[in-house]
Amino acid sequence: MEQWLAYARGPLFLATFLFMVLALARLVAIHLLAMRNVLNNTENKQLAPSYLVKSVTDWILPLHVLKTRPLFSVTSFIWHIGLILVPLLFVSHVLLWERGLATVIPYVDSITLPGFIKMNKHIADLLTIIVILCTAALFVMRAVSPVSRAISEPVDYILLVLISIPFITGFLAVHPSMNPIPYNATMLLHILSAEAIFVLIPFTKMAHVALFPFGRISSDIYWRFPEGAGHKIAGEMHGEEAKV
Amino acid sequence: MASEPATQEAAPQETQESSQEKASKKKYFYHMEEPCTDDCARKFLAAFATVLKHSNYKYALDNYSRVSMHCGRCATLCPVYEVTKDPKDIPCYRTNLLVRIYKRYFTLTGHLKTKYMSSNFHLQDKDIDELLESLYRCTACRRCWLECPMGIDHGLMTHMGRYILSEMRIMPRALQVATRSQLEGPIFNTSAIPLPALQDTIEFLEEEAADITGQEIKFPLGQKDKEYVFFAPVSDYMMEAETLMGCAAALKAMGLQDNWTIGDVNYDGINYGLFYSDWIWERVIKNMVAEVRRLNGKKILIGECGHASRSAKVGVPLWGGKNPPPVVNIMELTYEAVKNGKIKLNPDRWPQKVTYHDPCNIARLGWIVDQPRYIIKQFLKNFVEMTPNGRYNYCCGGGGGTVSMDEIYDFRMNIGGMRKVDQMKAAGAEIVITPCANCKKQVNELIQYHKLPMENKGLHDLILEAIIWD
Repeated sequence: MEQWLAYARGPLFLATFLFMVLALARLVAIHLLAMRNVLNNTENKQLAPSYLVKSVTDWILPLHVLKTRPLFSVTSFIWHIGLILVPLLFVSHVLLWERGLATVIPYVDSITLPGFIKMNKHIADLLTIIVILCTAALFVMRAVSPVSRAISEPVDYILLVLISIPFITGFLAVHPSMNPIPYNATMLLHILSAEAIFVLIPFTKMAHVALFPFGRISSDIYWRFPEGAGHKIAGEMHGEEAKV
Repeated sequence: MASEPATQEAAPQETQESSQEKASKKKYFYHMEEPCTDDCARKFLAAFATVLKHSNYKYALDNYSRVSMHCGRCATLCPVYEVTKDPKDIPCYRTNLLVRIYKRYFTLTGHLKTKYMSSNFHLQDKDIDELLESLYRCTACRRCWLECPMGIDHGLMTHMGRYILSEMRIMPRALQVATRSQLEGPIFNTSAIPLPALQDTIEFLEEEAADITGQEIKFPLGQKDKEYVFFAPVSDYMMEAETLMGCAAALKAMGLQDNWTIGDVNYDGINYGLFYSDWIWERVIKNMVAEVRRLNGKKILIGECGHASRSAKVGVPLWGGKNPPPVVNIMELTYEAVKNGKIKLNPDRWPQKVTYHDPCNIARLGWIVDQPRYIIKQFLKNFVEMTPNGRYNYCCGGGGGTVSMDEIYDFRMNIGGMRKVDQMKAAGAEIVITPCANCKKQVNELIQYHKLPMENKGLHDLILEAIIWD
């Protein structure tokens, strides 16, 4: 078990994390190239940066849309806060950052990140419990709401379950008194599930961690159609003499 | 169900039709000239592949297939889903009909899944039947887009789906016939109004406008070197005389009497390409720009019409060649003139309670929302808003070309337009202002069908009689 844990913590963590970063970078590159292609092959090349920025930032803090499905919106928003902050800033996770950065940056033996970004155990506990409760709530809402249920696929439920695992095991790991499972097994599950998420992020809807801005501005970009495309398509489908 | 009374009323008609159409085995949502009889799935995929090859849709599909959340927020804003509560009317469900085909047949993961994971989705002819109905149950109002956290533009997907179908010759006959008349002649506009008839109409309009206003109001036709070339939806010349007179009167009042003209070859602003085909869209825009160039005009002025305004606003920069002429909606001009005091309006002419309907195509992006309201507040004292309004307005139920399809009258009256009816009832106005030819037809029909105690007018109908002439 000790060896497995060391392996999951060390090389496997590095591999999956790098894999996620590179795969997301690839997706971002694909989307940037797509935007470039669209602007190259159409005549309307004007972009209004302020409009593009606004269409993204409006939904970073989407207070204006709370009117519709308020319960779902608030749950989802709070859920995201915990989901982002705990893995990044919880004090034990910051240790990981410090260790990782020290190995990556040449001629540096150790790095200490500023203390104020480190989230102490109590806040992390609170946020973790909130995330777990919100995940359960989102699962139930998805299953109960006729709209969500009608358009949900199995993966939409599976991902929610998967995301809850590192939070549940993480909570148990720092509260040994509540933990019915041995510490090492808990940690192994904690790390492996997180690594599974790393690997899945680029391939599932979780890719929106990087693609969110591109979706937001898609409506401005993709209504630009290339000149002559319609003619080529009609010609290829029905010949040069294509009729209306 | 809400649709019951209508189906009973329309029953005799339907039996007549079905006797005619018994030859063609299936009953479709709308009439089409060449319904697909066999091998539809393969034809659809062929059309899809060709469209992807030459257009930019693949980039949008790539993004949408990766980020779609299936959260269902879009349903909270869809006027069709709100009435039917049918999961098939959820915008995200409709988009997914196309996205899943893209994923399965046009991506590597789709191929791998089929090969190694025995993916059980194979496109069949019945899926095409579902698509062709689903895509025209959507009025392409794009209200759902406001609510999608990921910014998925379901209106764009509806447009693309309809385009693919149109390339396999599946499209509503009403739209096809009008477009054919516009692009292939013999008279080259959607309502097939020949030039002599237009000249007659214009003479009549000039006399009538003189009677109403006591002013000499001209409709210049085919004059060169004018600043504005005016494109109204051509059906207005037959059905909306007051709106046209109002536009001409407003242009005179703002001092542009001698600086605008109607084209004498191409005088039709209608562009059904926006609803179902990029090919048609581009051709209509090119004809429009060619007319402006021929007359040596400078700007394109669109009358009271939502889809004509948006199709030109989006299309002219794309297909209008070098230095494309700017596109202006008549309400923008009137707004400037009212603001600068060039047009003075009589606040006592229309004491009735008035409300304003935002046409989706000009309001959804916030382009023309405040201008008409500014004009209205200058002379209509008794103005009430419908809720919601502006960018969040409800579609009249006739968007996306569906208003031209008489065979789905019941659908438009009892489902698509139901939210608008509720809104209009709640506002309790005597006059509904609808500055859009499509919306006007639909709202008129809604008022008749639901026996609402109100009438429907264009913004310039009211301006016509309220202008104070010096």
